[in-house]
Amino acid sequence: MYLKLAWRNIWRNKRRSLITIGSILFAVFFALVMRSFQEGMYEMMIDGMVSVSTGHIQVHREGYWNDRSIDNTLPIDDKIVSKINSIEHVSRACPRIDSYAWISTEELGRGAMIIGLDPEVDVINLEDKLVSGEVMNKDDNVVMIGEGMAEYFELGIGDTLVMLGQGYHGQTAAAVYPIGGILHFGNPKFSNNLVVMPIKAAQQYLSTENRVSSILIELDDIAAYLEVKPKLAELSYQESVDVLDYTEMIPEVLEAIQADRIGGKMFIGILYVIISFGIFGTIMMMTAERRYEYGVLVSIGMHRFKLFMITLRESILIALVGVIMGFLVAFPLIYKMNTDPMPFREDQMDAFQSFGIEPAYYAVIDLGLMAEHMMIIFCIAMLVNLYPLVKIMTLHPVEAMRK
Amino acid sequence: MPIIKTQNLTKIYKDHSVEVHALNGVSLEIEKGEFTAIVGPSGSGKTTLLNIIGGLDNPTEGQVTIGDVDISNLSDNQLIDFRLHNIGFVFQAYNLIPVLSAKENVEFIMLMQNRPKAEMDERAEALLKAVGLEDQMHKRPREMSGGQQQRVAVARALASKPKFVLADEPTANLDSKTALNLLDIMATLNKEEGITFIFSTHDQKVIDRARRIVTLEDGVIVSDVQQDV
Ligand SMILES: Nc1ncnc2c1ncn2[C@@H]1O[C@H](COP(=O)(O)OP(=O)(O)OP(=O)(O)O)[C@@H](O)[C@H]1O
Ligand SMILES: [Mg+2]
Repeated sequence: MYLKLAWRNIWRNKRRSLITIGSILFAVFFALVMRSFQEGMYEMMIDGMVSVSTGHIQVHREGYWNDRSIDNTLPIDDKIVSKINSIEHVSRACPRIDSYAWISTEELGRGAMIIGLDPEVDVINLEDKLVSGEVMNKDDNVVMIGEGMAEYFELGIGDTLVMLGQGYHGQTAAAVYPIGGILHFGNPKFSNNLVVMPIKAAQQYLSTENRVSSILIELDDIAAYLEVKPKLAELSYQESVDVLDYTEMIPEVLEAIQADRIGGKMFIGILYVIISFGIFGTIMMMTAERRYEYGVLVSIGMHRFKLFMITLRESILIALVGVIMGFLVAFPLIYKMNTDPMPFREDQMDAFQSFGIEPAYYAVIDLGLMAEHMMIIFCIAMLVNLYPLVKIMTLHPVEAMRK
Repeated sequence: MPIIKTQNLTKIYKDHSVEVHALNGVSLEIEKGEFTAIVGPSGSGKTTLLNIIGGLDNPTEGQVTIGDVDISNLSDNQLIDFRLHNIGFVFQAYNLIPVLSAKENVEFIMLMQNRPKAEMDERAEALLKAVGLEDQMHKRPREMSGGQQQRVAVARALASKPKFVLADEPTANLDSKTALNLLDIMATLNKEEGITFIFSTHDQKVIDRARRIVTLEDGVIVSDVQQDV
């Protein structure tokens, strides 16, 4: 009967109960959606950085990260690559060599980043980015360039470009390569300045023999990086190495994300304060309206705490309904944007392209995150019951019944 | 032994430095089975006296003994329990929980006493029948007339098997016909079940039904008479 009483009390003032349920629903919906999208954006940013430029972990010759010269490269053989590949959670190991060169045609010139990679294993999916031409093979002597660069030099498939740079130990690196394919990159820096070529051809061009700038490692689970790192360091290399994970390679990005995350949480904190006042208002009204009734009940012999528990049951029911409904409204949206992210409109893209990502409205499904916010809102809805608790505990039945 | 004994009750209200002497040394004994009216002009202290007897308010001085319990020695929780098991209350109006039906209102007080469900059910029906509401058991208070609501309140007051029932102006919100009907029901319960009623009133017709009339004036008992009805 206590539960029956609580249930009927909810319907006693429908509008007030609906306002309370509505505020809770809105708070849950807003918090879940906003935080899921926020975390989705961070995941996209990290993924974008990791998949194109850094990988989850990299192995370099000791000191390379702070002095990325061609002389600071690490000699490797196929054995070490296959050993890395056999470590648990490693989904691929991609040797790369990076350098800079002056690119020129007959009339024009421009500086460029050169990345030598193995097209069969590398994390960059050339197939996906191909605009025209063909994806290079690992033994080819061709280059692939970004759309921006192709436009600048007015180059097409089969045209040649001249690359001039510095090779290993001061040797001159100069060669002419035909263009095998043109690639699309979201990030204009890559589009305008990137030249991709097979690692063997690049090693030849730079006279580094079997040296690489980095072995870029992709994991099947980003969270496993701390577990994999020491295993990588244990392997025997021809020279001493550094093993860096993505948190060490893109700390600025992670710091920016952390700052933004705090901003988001503060925003939601403010929302919670507003919602708290709203719910508090309704519960104050309710307590005032029922003062006489509380007076009668305490007079005829109801223990104050029991009386409070009836009120609390009512609040629990309301909060549960609000929280569950908020979840039920938010989840399909989050689920949809997780499985089928909606691309940004053209004009919204710019800000994100520098992160090297294809921007989209993408949300993570993180049950822990959702549970946390649902719990917080539920607790707020419980906490406001301190007001009726105090009122009931200090109620004087005679005064409560005097009009 | 009287079931209620007050000794020299004094109640002083302090309202912004103005002292109101609501009761000035009231000593009263009530025996089991009485049907007693507390009467007197407005402001004479009737409500104050009933509240103090019912353990809803504390006297400034004096003491109240119910059975063999001095209720001024009880803690708040003990006093609440004491009221639940010993005193039935009927207030002037709005006695009932609006979201519960007549029967549920009567059952509710037995639920508070942790009585078995079957007993609650049976007793609630019997009591509502005794106050003539067998057809109205499933109605909510707002679907009933004021007189019917007061009869439910009487049934509820009796449901807890109290030692006595206190009713402060139970008929004040009723028209005189309905008021007398309520009084008749109370008088019958008093005669047939031996239930002790103490009620306050202004209404001469109601006073005429009482067997004992205690008159207050300015917080003092000025007369205390028995009458045959
Ligand atoms: N809480 C209070 N604070 C101050 N004065 C009070 C309070 N309650 C009652 N009084 C005063 O005490 C006196 C007795 O009041 P009480 O309510 O007992 O009279 P009553 O006989 O019940 O009157 P009525 O017939 O109008 O109900 C009155 O003068 C009243 O104004
Ligand atoms: Mg009064």
